[in-house]
Amino acid sequence: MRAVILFAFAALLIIAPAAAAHPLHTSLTQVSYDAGTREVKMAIRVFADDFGEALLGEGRALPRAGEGFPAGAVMQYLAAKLSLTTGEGQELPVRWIGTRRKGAVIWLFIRAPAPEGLEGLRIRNRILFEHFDDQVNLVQVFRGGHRATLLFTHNDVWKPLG
Amino acid sequence: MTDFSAFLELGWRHILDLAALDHILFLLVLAVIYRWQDWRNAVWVVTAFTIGHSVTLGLAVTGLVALPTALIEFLIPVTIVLTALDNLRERDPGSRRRELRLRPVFAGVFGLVHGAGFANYLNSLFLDQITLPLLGFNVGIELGQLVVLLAAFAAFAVTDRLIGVLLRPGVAPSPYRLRVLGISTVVALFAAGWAFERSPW
Repeated sequence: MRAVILFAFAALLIIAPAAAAHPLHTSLTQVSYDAGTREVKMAIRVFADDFGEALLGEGRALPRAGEGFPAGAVMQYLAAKLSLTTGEGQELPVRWIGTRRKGAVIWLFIRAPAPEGLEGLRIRNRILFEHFDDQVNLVQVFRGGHRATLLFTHNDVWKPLG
Repeated sequence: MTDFSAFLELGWRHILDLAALDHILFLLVLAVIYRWQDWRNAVWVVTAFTIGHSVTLGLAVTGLVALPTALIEFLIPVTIVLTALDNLRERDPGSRRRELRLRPVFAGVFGLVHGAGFANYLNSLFLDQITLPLLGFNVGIELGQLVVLLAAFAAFAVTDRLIGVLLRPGVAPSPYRLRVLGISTVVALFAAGWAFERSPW
């Protein structure tokens, strides 16, 4: 009996993962349409330390704008992880607008041309999926005075915007 | 998808994620002293815990309180250790009935601490509308916790049966007592290790 208890105890100690806080790995992307410029506006909110670690390496937070902010690398990363396509599957090119730091989070602003509006567009958001197994990305779409929320987990691919 | 359902799914996923081991272990030590027939008490204790962390989360998200992250991360495993140590005083089912009436109160107070742990991650997600997303997130947490509770009760029943088969009746403490002792001790050790690692001093 003692052997069984010792074995169970040892097994529990082995299978328990390393001590970790209970983080919530999320990003938030707000999508709206600028009828004036006929572009899709996207504001992406990520934690500066999570995003910096994915982009720059372990333990490195994303610096503030004007402090060596790696806009090129951020844009390259976003182009690979956050995609917009037309209904026919044609990918929309995105352009960099800027960034704003607020406490622990950083907002990244990009735009993509969409002459036809949000109707028929599809989005894929895989930001930080390669970095966190529990990453969940929320996308809030503002359209016609209403807001809809899309939720992206590791199993999700494309979702319609309009 | 509405904000409510999106945040409900977020809360649900957060609890059922195995990376959320500190939360799951806390539920385990809260529930380990209960038997199937005590399920109402167990649900009430878990719900009190949800109410507690909903309160702190709401206060933090609305900016009414600012919470020191390092201290909170340290206090979370401390609440687990305290609950596990309290369990060690449990001898037989119902032997501390009067004391256990206060258990939901403690669960609620400890929930205040655990909710503060979420708050730092969530307060920048709620940008303009707070009520519905916050409600959705907390409902998701509660549903996830009830699933964990159900799984824990099934595991406790199996553990009791196993202990009953392995031990001769009358020679050792009851399967109930051994279950409470074993699980509480192991969880207390884990949580003490976490508290040590996260100590801000």
